[in-house]
Amino acid sequence: MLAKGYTAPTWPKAYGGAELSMAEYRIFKEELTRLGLPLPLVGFGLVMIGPILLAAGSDAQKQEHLPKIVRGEIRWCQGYSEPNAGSDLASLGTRAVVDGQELVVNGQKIWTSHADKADWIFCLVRTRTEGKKQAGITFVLIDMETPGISTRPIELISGASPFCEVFFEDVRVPMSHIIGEMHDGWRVAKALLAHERGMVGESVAAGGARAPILSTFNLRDYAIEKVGLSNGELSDPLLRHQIAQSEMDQELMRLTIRRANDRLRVGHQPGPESSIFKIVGTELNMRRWQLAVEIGGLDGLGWEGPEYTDIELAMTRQWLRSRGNAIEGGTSEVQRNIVARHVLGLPK
Amino acid sequence: MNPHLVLTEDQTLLAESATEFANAEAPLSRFRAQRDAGHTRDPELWGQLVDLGWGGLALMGLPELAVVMEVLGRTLVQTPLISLAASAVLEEGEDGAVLAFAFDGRFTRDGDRIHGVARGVLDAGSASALAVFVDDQMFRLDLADVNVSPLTRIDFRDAADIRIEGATATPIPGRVETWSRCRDAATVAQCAEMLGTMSAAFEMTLAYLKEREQFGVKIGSFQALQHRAVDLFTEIELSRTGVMAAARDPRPTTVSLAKARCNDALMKTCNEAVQLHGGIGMTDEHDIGFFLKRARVASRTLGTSAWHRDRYARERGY
Repeated sequence: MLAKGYTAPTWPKAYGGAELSMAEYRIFKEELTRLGLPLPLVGFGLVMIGPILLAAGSDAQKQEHLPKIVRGEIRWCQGYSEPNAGSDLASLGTRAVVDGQELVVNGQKIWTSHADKADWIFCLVRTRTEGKKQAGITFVLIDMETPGISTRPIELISGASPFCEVFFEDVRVPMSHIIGEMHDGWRVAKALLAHERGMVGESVAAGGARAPILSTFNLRDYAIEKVGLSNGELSDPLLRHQIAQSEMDQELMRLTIRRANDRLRVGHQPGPESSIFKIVGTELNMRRWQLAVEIGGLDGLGWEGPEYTDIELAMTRQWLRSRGNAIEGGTSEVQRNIVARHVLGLPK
Repeated sequence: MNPHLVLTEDQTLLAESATEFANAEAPLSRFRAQRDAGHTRDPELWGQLVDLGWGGLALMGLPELAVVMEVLGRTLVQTPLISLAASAVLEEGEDGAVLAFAFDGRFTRDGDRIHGVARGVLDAGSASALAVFVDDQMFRLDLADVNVSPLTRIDFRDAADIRIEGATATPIPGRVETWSRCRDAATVAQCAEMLGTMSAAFEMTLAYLKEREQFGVKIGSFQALQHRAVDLFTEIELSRTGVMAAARDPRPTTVSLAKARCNDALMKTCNEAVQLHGGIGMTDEHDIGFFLKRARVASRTLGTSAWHRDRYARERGY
C-alpha cells in the first residue's frame, strides 16, 4: 500500500501519494470495502492537516510534514475548541505573541482528540485582539514535545473518551511553523471545517463508531432475544413499530449517502442532501442507542459488575457516548444555522 | 449493484418537458378552478396527456413515471396516473383507459360472482374497469355492473365508494404477488406525487419567510423559524431518497420505507406550511390549504405509516 502511494491515495506522488482522482479514489474505497479491508491509513494527519498543508503550506512545510503523514510516522491532533470558544469558535483566546523569530503561546485548548498520544498539534491561536475576531487568528503547527505543553484526558459521562485538554505555558514556536499568513488562520481553517462536519455525519450515519464488542449488535436481534416472538411478530407491538421506524430511518440514511456519492460519481456537484448528514446521522444514532437501552429494561441500567452481560454494559455506555454525537464536530443547532443560511438562503 | 440514485439525462429532459407542460396547462389556478366548479376529475387534461403519449409513461418504467408524478404533484394536477402505474403492471392503460384498483375492499366470491364493498377507490370515475382481489385471485369487473358512489373528499380528487352485489367477474391472470406488485407500483407513484407536493409547499413557505416582515425584520431571520425550515428541508431530502430508491428497486421493504417517510414528511411539511404562513395560511384564498388537504388524503391512501412499518417488520422477520 505504502509503496504504491495508497496510504494517501489522492495526494501528489512527490509526497508519497498515488495521485488518484476523486472518481478513482471512490473506486479504490469501494474495492477495499468489497474485500472487507479497512482504509490503510486514517487520522487527523491524513484527513485534516494534510489537505490544509497541500492547500496553504509552504514547500518547506510540505516537504517536512507530508511524507511523515504518508508513512504513518507521526500522529496529529487538532487544537481548535477552547473552554470559552465552542460553537463560537472565532472567539478563541489562546494568545500567541511574537518574540524575535518565535511565537510565545499561552492558553488552553479542549476537546482535543488523542492529544495525550499525539506528536504534533495544529492550532488556532490569537495573534491580534483588536478588529474583527476572525481577523486576528493565526494557524500554527506545534511539536507536542515543546516545553510548556501539558495534556489531561477528559472523562465523559460514558466513563472514557479520546478527548483531552491541552495547556500551553510560554510555549515557544518558530515563526516558520505558521501556515499561510499571520492573522489569516481563520480562512485557512474554515476551508476544512465543512469537510470535518461532513465526515462526522457520514461516519455516524454509516453506523457510527462503537465499542468492538457491539460490532454486530442490532436492535432487531436484541429485541427478539429480550421480548421474544409470537406468531412471528415481536410480542411488544409498540416496540416492534419503534424498531421498524429506526431500521427504516437508518436504511434511508444509508441510501441518502449513496445518492450523494452517486451524484459525485457521475460528475455532478455535491447536492444539498450532504448538508443534512451530520444532523440526521447523529440524531438517528442517538435514537438507536436510546431504543437499545429501552429494550434492555432493567438490564440496560448497569455501569459495571458481573450482574450485567458485557454486551449490555457496553450498550449502556454506548448510549451515554452517543449523546455527544449531536455536540461534537459542530452542534446540531450550529448545523441548522449553517443549512438555513447557506442552503436555504434565509436572511441573517 | 443497484442502479444509481441519480437522474439520467433522459429523465432530466422528461422532468423539464413535464414542467413545461404543467406551467402551461396545469398551474395551481387550474386546480382551484376545478375545485370551485366541484370537479374531482379533469378529463380534458388527461386527454391532452394521453395524446402526448404519456399513457405509455408507466410502461417506460417507474423511475420515469416518478419523475412526472413529482412535477404534477407540485400543482396538485388531477390525473389517474396512480392507477395507471398499477395498470401498467398488467400492461394496460397505455390508451388512457386505466383500471381502478379496490385495494381496500372486502369481497367474497361465489363462482364468478363477486359480493362486497370498498371505500374510497381511487380513480373509479376515470377508469374503464375495476380490479378486485378475492380468494387469492385477481378479477376484472365492468364498472357498469357495480354500484359506484362518487365521493367529494377534501382533496377534490377522483374517488368513489364501490358496492358489488353479485356482479360477474372475469379472472385476471395473477395471484397475490401480482396484486402486491400493482399496489406497490401505485404506491411508488403516490410517493413521487407526494414528493412534488411537499417540495412545492415548502418552497412557497420558504419564499414567505424571506418576504414577510414583522418587528421590522424578515421573519425568516428568526432562528426558531430557520430551524423548523431546516427540519422540513431534511424531511424532503430523505423523502427524495426514498422515492428514487423505491422507483428503481420496488421491493416491499423499500416501498414501505418510502411511503412511511413520505406520509410523515408531507403531513409535517403541510402542517408547518400553514402555521408558518400565519393568518393568511388559514384562508381559502391562499393556496397553501390545498396542500394540507391533499396531504391528509395521500397519507391515508395506499398504506398509513403504521401499515408500512408493520409490513417492513414482517418482511424483516419480527
